[in-house]
Amino acid sequence: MTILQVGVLALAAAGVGQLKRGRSLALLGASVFAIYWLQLPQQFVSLAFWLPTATLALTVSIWILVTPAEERTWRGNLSSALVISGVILLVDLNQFIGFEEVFMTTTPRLWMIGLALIFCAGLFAILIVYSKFRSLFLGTALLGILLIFVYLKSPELITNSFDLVYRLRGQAIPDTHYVLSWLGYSYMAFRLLHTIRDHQTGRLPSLSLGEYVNYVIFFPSFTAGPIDRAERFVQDLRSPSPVGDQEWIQAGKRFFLGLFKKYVIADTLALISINDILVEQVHSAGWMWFFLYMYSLRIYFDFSGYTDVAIGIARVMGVRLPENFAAPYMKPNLAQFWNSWHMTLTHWFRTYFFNPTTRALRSGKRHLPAVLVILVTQVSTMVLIGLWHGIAWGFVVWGLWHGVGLFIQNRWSELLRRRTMSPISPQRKLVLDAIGVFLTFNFVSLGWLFFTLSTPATAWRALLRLFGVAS
Amino acid sequence: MKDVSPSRVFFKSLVLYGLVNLAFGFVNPPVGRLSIYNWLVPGRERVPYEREVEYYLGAHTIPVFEDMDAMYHSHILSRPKQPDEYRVVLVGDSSTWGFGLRPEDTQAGKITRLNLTTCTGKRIVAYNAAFPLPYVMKDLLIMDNVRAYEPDLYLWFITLDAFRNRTIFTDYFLEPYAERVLDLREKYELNHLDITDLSVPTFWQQTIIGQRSRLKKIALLQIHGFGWNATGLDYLYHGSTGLSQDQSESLLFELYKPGELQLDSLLFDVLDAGYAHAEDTPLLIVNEPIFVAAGKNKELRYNEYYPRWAYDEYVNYLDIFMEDRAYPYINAWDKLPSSEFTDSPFHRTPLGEKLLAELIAPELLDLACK
Repeated sequence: MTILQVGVLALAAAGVGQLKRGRSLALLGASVFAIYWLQLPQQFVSLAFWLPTATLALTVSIWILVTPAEERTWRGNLSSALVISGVILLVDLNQFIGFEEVFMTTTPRLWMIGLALIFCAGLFAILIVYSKFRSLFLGTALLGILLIFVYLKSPELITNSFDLVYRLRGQAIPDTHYVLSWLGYSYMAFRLLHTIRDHQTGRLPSLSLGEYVNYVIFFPSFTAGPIDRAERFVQDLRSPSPVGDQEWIQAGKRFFLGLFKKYVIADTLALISINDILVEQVHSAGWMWFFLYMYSLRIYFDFSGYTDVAIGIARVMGVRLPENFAAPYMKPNLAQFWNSWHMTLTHWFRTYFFNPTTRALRSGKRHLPAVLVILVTQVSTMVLIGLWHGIAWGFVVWGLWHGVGLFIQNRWSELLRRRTMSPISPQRKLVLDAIGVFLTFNFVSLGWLFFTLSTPATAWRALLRLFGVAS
Repeated sequence: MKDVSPSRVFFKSLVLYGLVNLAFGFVNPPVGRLSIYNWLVPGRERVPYEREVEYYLGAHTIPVFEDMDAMYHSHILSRPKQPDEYRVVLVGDSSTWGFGLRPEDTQAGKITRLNLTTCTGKRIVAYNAAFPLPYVMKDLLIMDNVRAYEPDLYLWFITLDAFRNRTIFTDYFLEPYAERVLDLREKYELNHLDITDLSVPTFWQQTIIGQRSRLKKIALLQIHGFGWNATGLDYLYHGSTGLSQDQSESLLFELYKPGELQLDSLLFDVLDAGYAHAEDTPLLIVNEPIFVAAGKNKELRYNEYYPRWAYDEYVNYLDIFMEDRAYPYINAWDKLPSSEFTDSPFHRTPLGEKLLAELIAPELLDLACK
């Protein structure tokens, strides 16, 4: 997002927050518009229109599946449906309006929109009429969301599929690097999966169409989180916190702090953060450490800056998004680091993968040793978190790095707990904590090599250079 | 906690920001002189430059042509002169700046590495102050600026292309120094200099908002200093595919056809201004070597830039111009073999630079000892 876009969204949020009536609908309209506006141009131009449209179609489909029939009345949801369709139509009409600065003017022709609406209406009708197959639909949706996710995160699959499209069209395959970026899909997928799983376990409250779509595509957090929980989000939506003077001050502080962290600190540190070129150019271990540390700081300020901006913007609309970072680099061990780094993401994985997997392994017929269960669950959780960032070996190794690190730390803590009988003096604790912070920060920083460098081989070379092993 | 009104905070911030902007506009502080170079990180051996934005990161650089203070405060030229140092400052275009060359292989690097000493025993140290644009007015402006760094001798590399008036360079390079350009134009009666598009920045353009691009670049230049320090690289070396010996049949030099080039309307008066401006500091002009093709159509063109008719006219004119005024001058246009050029008819190989440095050295020593 550009700083201009952030500014416009903040102003929109301030306007929405001031509404006494119709706030939810205004927010819905703004969010629907934002997903079109923020969508990046695509290799196939029309995808910039169809991807956000698919976001909405998918969201509405899942809403139909997770919402009881009595909540899906026209009366309760017509206005939201009209707002969503209205914004889609308005965006499409840009081909006649011609606001090129706002959105592309080569939007699909109206008959195509008509066909798409008929297709969606048919799909929604099938989901409603054949509600006895809801479990099947939900399972399919769950699998479909994951498959799309895998596709979007696999450069090879994207290349192959794009090449195929060109071949089918009888066109020459361009000599370019394809990019397919479906705005906000990674975070949207988490929200959709969360509602599907909570619906399956009976924990999801009933949400109206407006509430559900607002939750999934809430514009402040749509592109970079935090990942809120539906039941918490909807509480704020139904009875938003009053936006008084102090709320404005706090929101403003958070917003500007976020802007500074992201656009000043992080973007500046990006110039001196470790990258593939520097690994080849730098031959001194000292400078390698410097660039590595700069990357560690950069990624923190980048993510947490975006979070601050999202929290600040949401706050002026009376929505209190969850915190995502809590001084992670000041934590004395890896477990605490992961409890304070991208917290909503780790919380999601803990809830929907780590805990169920642990329970499944412990309650299985073959009784696995607790140590093995810890190893398997921690490593697999971290590898999945790695793969969420992209399907590449670097992310797998990064996941393994943290998974194994967490396991070792778990065992070490267990050992210390058994051996240390007497309480530790405050001074000694301070020293131990300082050592822990230093070790944790360096462990995490070294892990970033696999996260940010293009291949594990490059990361390995960088690692060797850091320790002066390779020239 | 005392309640604070957001509207008051907003209003106060706005007023304060406005005042700071106005103050900045009035004072116009020399922000470019704030530099981490030459104390926290080593100075650069040439001014920061890179054509493509996408290469800034890998080249650890960002061009800050809008602020010569920033350019030269990031340069080793701004270090204090040593008592035993004879300071030679080179100005010129991309070939002097050293496209495709490491700093030590540029003309300045090669001259310094000849380990010359003047007749008074001072070490000759050459500094690369060139900025990669072929434009003599830009060179004069740079000479004017680097006077502050106590040069003992100027070495000015020229070519035909640098004498043409070009609006794009006026907008691009001269605009930020419009007032100084107008002063120089008036002082040295540079009547051929086209200033049609030159406008003096308004007060609002001098405020923080108006200067935001320059200020950002200055800040980023400091950050790039760490990369420069760690790698010693200030340029991405792309390699070169070499030049074709075969030339086209075209007789055009830019838009000029044979007989249309009015040399006396070009910017040769800037050379006079350069000698006058250098005052007591010796100035040696070098007509830089060009690639001379030996293949097809070699009788029509020397290279892709110059048809023979235009360049021959220029060389003859320049020889007479310099001879009439008895200016120290080396005409080196045909002094390098074509194998010593890289990706353009002006850019040289390290060996080409060495050969040129050896060619210049006797004249340079002669001037230094006068």
